[in-house]
Amino acid sequence: MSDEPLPPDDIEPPADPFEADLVAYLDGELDDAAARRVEIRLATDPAARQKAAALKKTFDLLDYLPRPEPSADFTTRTIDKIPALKTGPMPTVRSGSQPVPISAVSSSVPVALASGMLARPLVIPRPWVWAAGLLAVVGLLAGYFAAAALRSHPAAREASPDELPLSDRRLVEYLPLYAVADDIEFVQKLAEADYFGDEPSVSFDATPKVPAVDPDKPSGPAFEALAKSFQSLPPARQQAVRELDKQLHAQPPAARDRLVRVLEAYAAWLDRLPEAERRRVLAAATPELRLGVIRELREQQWIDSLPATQRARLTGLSSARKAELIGQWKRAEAERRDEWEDVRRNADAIAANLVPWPFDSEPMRKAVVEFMRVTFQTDEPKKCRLTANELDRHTAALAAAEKNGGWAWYAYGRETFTIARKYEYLLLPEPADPKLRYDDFSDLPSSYTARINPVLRKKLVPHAGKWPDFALELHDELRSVKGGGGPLPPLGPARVSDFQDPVRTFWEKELSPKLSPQERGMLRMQENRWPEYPREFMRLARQHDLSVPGVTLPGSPRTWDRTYGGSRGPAGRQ
Amino acid sequence: MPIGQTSALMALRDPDIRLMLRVRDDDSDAFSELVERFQHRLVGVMHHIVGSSEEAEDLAQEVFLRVYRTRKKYTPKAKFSTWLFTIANNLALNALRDRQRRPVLPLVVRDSGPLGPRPTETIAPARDEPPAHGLQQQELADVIRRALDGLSERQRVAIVLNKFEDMNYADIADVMDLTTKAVKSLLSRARAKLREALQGYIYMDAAPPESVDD
Repeated sequence: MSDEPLPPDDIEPPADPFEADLVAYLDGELDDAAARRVEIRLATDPAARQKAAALKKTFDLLDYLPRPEPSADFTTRTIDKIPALKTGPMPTVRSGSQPVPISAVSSSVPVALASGMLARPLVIPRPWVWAAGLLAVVGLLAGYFAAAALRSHPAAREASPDELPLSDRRLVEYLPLYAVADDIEFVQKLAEADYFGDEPSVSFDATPKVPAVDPDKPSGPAFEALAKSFQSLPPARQQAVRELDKQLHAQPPAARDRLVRVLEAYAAWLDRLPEAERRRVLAAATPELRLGVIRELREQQWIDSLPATQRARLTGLSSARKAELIGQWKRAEAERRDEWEDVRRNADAIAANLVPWPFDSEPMRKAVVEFMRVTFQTDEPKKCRLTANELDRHTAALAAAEKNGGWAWYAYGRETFTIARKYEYLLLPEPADPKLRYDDFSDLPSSYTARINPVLRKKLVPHAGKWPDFALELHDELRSVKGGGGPLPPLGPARVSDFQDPVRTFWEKELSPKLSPQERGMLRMQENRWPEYPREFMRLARQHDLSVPGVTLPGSPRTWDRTYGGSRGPAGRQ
Repeated sequence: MPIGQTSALMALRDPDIRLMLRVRDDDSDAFSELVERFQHRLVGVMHHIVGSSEEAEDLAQEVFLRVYRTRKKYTPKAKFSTWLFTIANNLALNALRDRQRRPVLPLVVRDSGPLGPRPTETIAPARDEPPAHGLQQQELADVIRRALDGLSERQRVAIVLNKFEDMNYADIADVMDLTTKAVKSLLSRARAKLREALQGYIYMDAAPPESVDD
């Protein structure tokens, strides 16, 4: 293809074969044996590790290059260069107006379905008849897709069969999509990111992910064939399709469009499946089983889409190890998606090097730094709650933010947000009375000491000296013992009056005035129970978007979620 | 033109191929849709390769025009995007070589021409003297741009496809008509050169992992 010889130095074996392997390793292009050799070298050679880090960092730097948009009239100008097309009408194209960075578009396919999804009762009385109906329509659907791929757009729409009620016209037009769905709940499940939902990082983009269904409505023979197919469905199935159409179009426009996109993606995916696998999906007896089959096939497709060398690493592994490795890769992919989402959401602020909320205010900046220092004891390594890695990352992010200012504070904000969320279960209001701060065996009420056997003691030893870790561990252990021998006194503050001054003032001035009588009642029900009472207290504060002094990150919790949560925000909260 | 069995199977799997088959069959709407669908990727890749927005648009436009002119000869053999980027690669490399043969003053004056200082000299004077940490985004982008310009044409194309199109070595080999082994060498040299050119900039946001002499 090239009309000139290659510059020889470009493709000759590299001067440093290890560096070539290292680059290929970072790109996921090495086979298993070669990858292991690189990993061994990396494990034993600090210089190699440094080189690997530098290569990766350098590659990441390329992300700073601007990504130019084509001019708004690029398509028109291009079409105008072709005389035969110049006077033709411009179609309504479905591509988004904003580009999607290629590396942001994940090739990922979904992960496991939450077990709760499978609890819906069976409602389909005759699954096999139903599936047969689906198959008939899907056969037609495949033909429709194939025809759509080959034909030019019709100049005019032909009339539909007269005998079809007007109310059914729309659902016939949508039948290629409805035919492969059970009901609105099934579609909503499919809309989850794990199945065919919009990629979280491109969620602003209303473009259908897979433009498989012709944007024009079916007309003429195609419409007639669809209408006939609809009429040949069993009455119960016809009714179900009507119901789905009704419920779908009762949704707000944005939600409806989103679900239609999901159906398009699902229908196109189904259409491309090998016959045997398509039958497996359609013949599943219940929507839940169908979702299970879809999940299994998507999982396999995800594995098949991995680079050959990465895929090769899975061969010969035990199923547990395989699942673990796949889980790792998916988590890494999710992290990359999150990072992209951060960058995408904040592109303007990054470009202008603005200081992000809440660090744009001096008092708030100091408050957050102080919160992290006091709560996690970041300046006392021996007492610090964080892991060594977390502490290193936190310290480095803070140092970089203080040194560089501007958007460098974002990395610090994300670090603090991640840490605060991870340790949320430990962040409870402290007691005013030190006697209620149970963090060692010696302070415990006798009703507890009597129940601590050697096994339990061994479990508690690592937590001694830490509050509320010690008390929480003890509470959890004793709660799991059946017939624990009657109620035990609380192991921490379990009334507002037990809290320290700042939290009591917060209750009086901020939280209490906002609570409804029901919410007050719920809190009161937990009095004298620890940690239930402080947990309910924290939940109510969060519900009203309030930060509890000294216990949660300063500033509005919702703004923290919105600014630093991304797709890991409240939805991902444990 | 009837579609053979293999083509039909490929068309069913790849919506882009389906679209291109409609272009081949003179569906003018399909061509507009194709332009709309790929313009961002093509303009972006071209810009990274040639470094100028205007030239990138011209080249991307030429790619589409070639697609249209050769549409009747189109037979699906691989992913549609691989075919598209093969055309793009040829045009980009020709443009870069033309530029070398007929050196002209660029509209945006850069000091990366053949007589200018080498990127490593301009970018990182010494490891002991890292650039100011307050470097602005635009300045950093300029530095990276110069580092990219310091690569050979093929290295640049390979890096851009690898980085921005997320292409694996096999696909890059298809697009550039090389073996995957040659792509590995090409990318290794390119990454080493970038590392050298940008070494003063890679730890601006954090300390280096370990202090080890190379």
